[in-house]
Amino acid sequence: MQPKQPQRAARVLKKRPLLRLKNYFRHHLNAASFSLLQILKSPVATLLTVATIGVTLALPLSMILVLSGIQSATEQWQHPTQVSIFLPPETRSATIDELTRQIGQWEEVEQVVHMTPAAALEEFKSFTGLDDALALLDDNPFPNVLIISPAKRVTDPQQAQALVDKVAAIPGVDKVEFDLQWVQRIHALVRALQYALFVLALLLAGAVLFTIGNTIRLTIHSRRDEIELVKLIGASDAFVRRPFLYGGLWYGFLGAFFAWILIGLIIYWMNTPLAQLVQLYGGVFQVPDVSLGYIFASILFSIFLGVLGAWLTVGRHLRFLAPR
Amino acid sequence: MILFDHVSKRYGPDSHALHDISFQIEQGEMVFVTGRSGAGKSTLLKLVPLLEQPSGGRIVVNGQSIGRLSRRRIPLLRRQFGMIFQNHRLLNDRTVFDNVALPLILSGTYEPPEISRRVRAALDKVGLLHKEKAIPETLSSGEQQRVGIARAVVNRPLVLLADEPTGNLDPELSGEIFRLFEKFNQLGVTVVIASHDLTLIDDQRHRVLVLRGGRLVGDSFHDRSGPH
Repeated sequence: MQPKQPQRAARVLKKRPLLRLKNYFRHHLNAASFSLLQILKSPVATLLTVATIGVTLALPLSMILVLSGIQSATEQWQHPTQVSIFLPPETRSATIDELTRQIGQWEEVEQVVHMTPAAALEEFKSFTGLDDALALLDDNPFPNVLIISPAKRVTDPQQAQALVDKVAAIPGVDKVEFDLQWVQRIHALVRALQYALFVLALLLAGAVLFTIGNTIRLTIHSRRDEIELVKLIGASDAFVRRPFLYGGLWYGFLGAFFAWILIGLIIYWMNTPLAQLVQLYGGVFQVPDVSLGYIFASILFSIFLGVLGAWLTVGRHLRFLAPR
Repeated sequence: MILFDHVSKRYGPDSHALHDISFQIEQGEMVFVTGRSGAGKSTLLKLVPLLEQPSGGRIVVNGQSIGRLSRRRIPLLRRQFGMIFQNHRLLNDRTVFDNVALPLILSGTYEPPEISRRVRAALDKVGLLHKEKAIPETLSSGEQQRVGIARAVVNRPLVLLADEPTGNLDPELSGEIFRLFEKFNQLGVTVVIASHDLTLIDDQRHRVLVLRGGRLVGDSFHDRSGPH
């Protein structure tokens, strides 16, 4: 067994780059399978870590779905967003019909209903019961009113205000009434929830990062002797780091898998009570179908957090693990 | 092969592990480094693969000055050496085969059949081919040390560095281990052994470097100018 010359080995490597590439991928495969085996060797500890990550991820993921359902439901609430156009008493029937037809053709309008003064008076009588008092009036005080229902796509206050301004600009329109405040409140509430959800998601992503990082840190400590030995016999930092990065990857993947199981349960439990609540306001609530793309993206994100957490932890500890 | 040129090592302002050490080891030599405990034998050996950085002087290995080697190139330097330790440093969650194969795996230059062939050849050289599937902790101390030697030679290094390789062994086993070192030396491997076992050194007809208080006080064949 003759000792090799380092220069000769280097020349061999140069001529066989494919061999080096093959061994590189082979080592990645070994590192991935080795780290998975290490994780599965401690099932209880692994389950606790995976459950922690899963719960942390399930919160923002499920809230995103619920929020999507609420947004859809708010689009169905039409009554508060109706625009009422009051026309001067002298407006002729032909003009009213033409106005009804024209406005009905606007793409931001769903429906236009003409309430005559007689219909308005009857409605007022039925609401108030003041038949005798109204009988004393010589004339019907109610004007012709056009009640506009905006299209479903008119969801935010700016779009609604644009419609109101457009209506008010019509010659012959006496007055326009619209409960913009309610729309603004709904919109602001949804926006606030979205921002809160974003902040919560950031905080929880940080929590996942720290959880995985801490788990990897404990693994490094338990394998300290092995790490020092392989560094002693010539392992590069990348060689040492690799199994831990795959450990982070596995924790991220398993955590996301656990999260989706939890989300399935959450949706199952919350769908009925939320639907009942929205129904009381005349809407229909349903959690939107979860696309495969959304699930895939969330798993990828969780894996990214796992690898990042492992990278940050290993990088910090490797510098202090000098071989002795 | 290995040149120490006025090398010093300090661990603090008042702690001089090595002071102004100069010597040269040629390729194919077998050299003992001896001295009392605390003389600096282990420190000297650790400087060669840069397990410690010298505080002063120059160290040249195989024509390359290693004092300012970048962090990325240090693993490549260490792969040129085979290292044997007093406490074996084997991984007890792997088989003997896997332990010996480690240097070949981390070099990334061998395919599995080649790794298998080299590991078996190394184990055969130390007489432990029949133990390849065993777990190290089931082996005797002498067998574990031989596995450590197999791991050190499997990558065919130019230099073997052994720090108190027989520290935990009885005289008979120690003799066996030294004979293994001689076998590798006869194949052209440079062997540097740090040992305070004078009886064994006396039996060997090789160069001896004697350290006392971090200084080189003897460097000759059978020169024991620095007795314990």
